[in-house]
Amino acid sequence: MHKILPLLSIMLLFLPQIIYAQQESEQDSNVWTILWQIIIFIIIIIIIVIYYWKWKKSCKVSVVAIKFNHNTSSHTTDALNIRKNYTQEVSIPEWTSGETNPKDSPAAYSIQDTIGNTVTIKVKLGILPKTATSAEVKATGGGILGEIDSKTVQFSNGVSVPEFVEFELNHNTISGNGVKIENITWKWMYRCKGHKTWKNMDITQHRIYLVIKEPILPWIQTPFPNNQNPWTEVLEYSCDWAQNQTTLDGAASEVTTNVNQPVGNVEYDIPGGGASHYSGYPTIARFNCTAYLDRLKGGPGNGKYVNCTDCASIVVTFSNILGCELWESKMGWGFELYEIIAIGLSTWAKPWGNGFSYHEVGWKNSAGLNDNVFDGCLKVNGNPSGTRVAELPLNIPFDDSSSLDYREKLVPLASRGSCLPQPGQRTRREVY
Amino acid sequence: MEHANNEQQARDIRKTTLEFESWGDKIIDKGEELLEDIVIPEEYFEGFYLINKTEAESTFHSKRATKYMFGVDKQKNDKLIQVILCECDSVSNAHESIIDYFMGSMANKIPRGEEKNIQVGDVTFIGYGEKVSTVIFARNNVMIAMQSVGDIDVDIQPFAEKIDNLLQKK
Repeated sequence: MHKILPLLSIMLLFLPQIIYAQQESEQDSNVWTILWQIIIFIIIIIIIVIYYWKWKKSCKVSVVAIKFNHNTSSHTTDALNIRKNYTQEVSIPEWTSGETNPKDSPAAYSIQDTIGNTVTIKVKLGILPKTATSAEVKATGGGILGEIDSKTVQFSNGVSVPEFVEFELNHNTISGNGVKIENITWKWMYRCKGHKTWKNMDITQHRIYLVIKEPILPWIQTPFPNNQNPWTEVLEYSCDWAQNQTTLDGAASEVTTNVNQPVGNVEYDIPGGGASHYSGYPTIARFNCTAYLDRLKGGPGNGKYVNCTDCASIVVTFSNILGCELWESKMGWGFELYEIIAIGLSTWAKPWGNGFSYHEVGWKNSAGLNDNVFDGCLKVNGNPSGTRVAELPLNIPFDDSSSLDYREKLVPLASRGSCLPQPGQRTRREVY
Repeated sequence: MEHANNEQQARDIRKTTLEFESWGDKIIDKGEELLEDIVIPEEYFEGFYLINKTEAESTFHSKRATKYMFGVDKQKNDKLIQVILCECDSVSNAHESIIDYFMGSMANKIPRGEEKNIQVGDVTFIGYGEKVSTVIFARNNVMIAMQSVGDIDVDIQPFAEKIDNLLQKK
């Protein structure tokens, strides 16, 4: 239309001459022709002025980049420091123009740490023509992060000023949720200065993880970047397993239950004498989380066998990324067992018939007698006095003397004195 | 069953149970040189391919540890063999490395290789079950821990023997 208007104007300019060329006999034809030309000329000038004025005010805005984790020293108003896995970082800004896969733009938020705070993102925008100085921007959609209210953005030389403009996520529902994974989509819109209608620009997609609170060791927030920052590859599983859980105990229980199912097609290492394959020799102080993730994805990992140390490492690592505060801690040394159902197996048995040299579980607080345990490695008999009931130990006291607890269900009375908490050995193994 | 009050006591009990003191009898006065920079050839595992090989930091009594994973099919996990090779700076540290390895095992007793007539290494242990799916042995200053870790148990005795031959030729 903008291109046709000047052409139409020129045609109108010559129209009277064409008409009056056929009326030359009339005396006043020349007068009328001149008058027409003047009127039409004025109309054309008006059209051109209006057209130019509108052209000067129109613009095209685009989203260039989005930062979710824009303050790496805090996570109370923005996203946590995360990485993809041991070797790969999540680059900031998390989203840049051209990205279409939500997993390429991940962000994780701590529910408890953001409560009561205004969560924000920072967005870099571009504008054409470069002479344009401002435009309004907003976004609809956004899932748990909510839609984004309109905001006037200033531009200089085609780029937003400041380069990354802060947008408040006033409609987020982070605090109303439990543990969660969600792909969100923002449909961004802009309105040029002086214009009334909103125009569509980019659609951006992101993968958002919600954890209960700041991840605990082995996961760290500082320094950043660091290979012990929470991995999105672990969040994928933890947030799925503990979906909608709002308490730390609930989340740890769900993780333990899923580990014991067992995910990853693993089973207790009866043939190898209960050797560790993911946390064991020769790297005893570390948990090969990369190999376990490979196993979860259907790869070989370190093979199908696990032992109690492996299970404790998995339970603690995958729980603590959600904010749980578990320890990998041992009990020992050298004790008899009641019959158990070991991970990946379906029958009651005493492995090798002669008890455990030690055992290791996910343990709360100081990993002592009265502290609760989460054992993803085995099921005990939850009803020693009647019909046998397979019970996965989830958040039950090790042995607080007032009730039937974990140790009493695992170890015969005569051997309980050899199954003592070893809190001096409690650890949270580094991941690799 | 002997009970321990701490990890050191547990280690001592483990040594006693496994007759650690007698292990040295087999290698004393052999005068063998220390084995170094050992690489397990992939062709030793006929029908398998090397899935990955990782170097681990030196821990406990070993100075260098290498972990191999061999498999048959990239799409399946049915047959997998894991080999941990630890080079130590002495014969006794290779023996201590066996104890290190078993300190991470939950079973109180570990069967000796002789029980199934497995003749590899100076000191040999095997796992439980009908097939020989686990072999842990020390030859000179090297400790080897091998285990079938796939969905289908593989008899690893032939592979253990090849590796032991390699160590003896070095």
